Amino acid sequence: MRIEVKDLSYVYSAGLPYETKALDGINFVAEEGDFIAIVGSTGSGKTTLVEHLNGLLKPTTGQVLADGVDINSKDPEARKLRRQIGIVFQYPEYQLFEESVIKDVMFGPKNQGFSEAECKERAVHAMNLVGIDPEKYGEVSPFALSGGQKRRVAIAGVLAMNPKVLILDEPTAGLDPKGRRDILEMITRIKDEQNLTIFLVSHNMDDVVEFASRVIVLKRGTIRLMGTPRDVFHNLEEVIAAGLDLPQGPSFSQYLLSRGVKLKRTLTFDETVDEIVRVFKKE
Amino acid sequence: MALKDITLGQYYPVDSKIHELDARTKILAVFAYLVSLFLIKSFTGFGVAALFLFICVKMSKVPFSFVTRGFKPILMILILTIIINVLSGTGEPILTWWIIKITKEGIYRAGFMAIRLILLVFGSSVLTLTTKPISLTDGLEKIFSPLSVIGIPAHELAMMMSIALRFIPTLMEETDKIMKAQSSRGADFENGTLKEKAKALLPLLVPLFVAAFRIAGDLAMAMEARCYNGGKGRTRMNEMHYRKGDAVAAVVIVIYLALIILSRNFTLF
Repeated sequence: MRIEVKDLSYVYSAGLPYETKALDGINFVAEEGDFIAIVGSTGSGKTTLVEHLNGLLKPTTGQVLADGVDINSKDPEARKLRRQIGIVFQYPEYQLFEESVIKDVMFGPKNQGFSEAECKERAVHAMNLVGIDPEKYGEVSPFALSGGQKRRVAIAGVLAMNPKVLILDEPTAGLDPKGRRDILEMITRIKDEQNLTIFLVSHNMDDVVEFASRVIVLKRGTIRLMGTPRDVFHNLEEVIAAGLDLPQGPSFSQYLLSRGVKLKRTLTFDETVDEIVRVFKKE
Repeated sequence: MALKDITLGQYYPVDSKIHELDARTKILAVFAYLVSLFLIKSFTGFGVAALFLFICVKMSKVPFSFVTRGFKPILMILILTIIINVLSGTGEPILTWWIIKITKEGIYRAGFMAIRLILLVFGSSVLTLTTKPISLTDGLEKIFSPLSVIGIPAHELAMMMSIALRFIPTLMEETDKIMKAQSSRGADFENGTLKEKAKALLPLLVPLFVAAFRIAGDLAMAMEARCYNGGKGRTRMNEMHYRKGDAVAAVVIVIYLALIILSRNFTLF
């Protein structure tokens, strides 16, 4: 699904003395199959932005279009489109509530009005996608699972609704490095299998560089930079000005450059290693 | 959802003579004021009470629109009180229709009760508008601490109150988050029959309870890690002190109470 955001602005507590502009004139297009990372320091408006993408927040001005239809219009088509945009919030495991894992995953499809059998089928499929064995864990209480498993179950709960667009707000927060990789690789795999459009809110620039096809850098509610990770992280001063960390690769090559080592600017970790090896072999 | 708009502990931050008073003084004064409202027998007395309240609000520099905001939630109760009192009046009926009998005494009593209720709400809101919730609980703790001699745990009760107050916004935020998450999964909290609405609350309440226990556990751990072990031998960073203003306030309150008691005997109308 193609998502287009047009002149989006959002004002919190409009008309009150403490009114704040959380988003100001946001414009971008996400094509089907894009993996877009939204980054920015705390309070830059990331979460506010993604909550607009499935209609949880209504823009003060501007529009969010899904396949050309305004998702906030009264059109019945808009309601259907909104339901195809799934959102996984921060710490999604805290929203689990059912007595068994399978029932919790079935909650979304049930609200969509599918039959019991169909819901079950979708739930089993979604659990397989996230790597939670429905045979083994289906009847277990979600509260008995480990943190990482709970998070997978929560993601399955959103996937079971068959979204065309999947929004993930810091899906790896609080996980160990392996858990982080596992979740991101899983997301990439599901994206390719189901041809999803992904929005990922993240604080980890190494993840962004490795997985995203495009990056949007927010600062105080406006887009500061937008483009491929290579373009965005080429502009180191701007990235730092937006309050972000540098990924390990550019950070290290930048350091070597400043110490007089002549090497090309690099993006990913592996690239950086290769470049260093190349430069030092020549010497 | 407008969950953010709910304000409990509606403290209005300005500098005024009333804000400066010691929390204990204000609590006792409000208590005296509320008692006085029940001593009043005539509209003259209410006139005195209303004038006194008006002066207090003026001195507190809290805008009137802010004070009256606290009035909305009790509007229903007020209307109900008026209706019941009007209908249950005894005496000579001035209007009879079917089983409904409206008497002069009934109308008089309804007016009486309504004014009392309004003054009760406004009077107590002056306290919460001018006192930070934390000073309030500190004040209560001090007032009740003599009772610890007979085994009433004043400190623990006050601590429980401050924690409860502190966590209202946190739980609000949590509720907001869970609601958003569940509505993204298609949950509908607004439409449907009463039974459906009650059922729809389950996906909200279960995670909320889990969150409450999680937060409570974390807090208990954090308090213990800093060696909290109850009120015994505990000193505080900001000791409460009575100042000159508190003495003045005490005198004013005594004069006010005297006026109210006098008004019981001199009825103008």
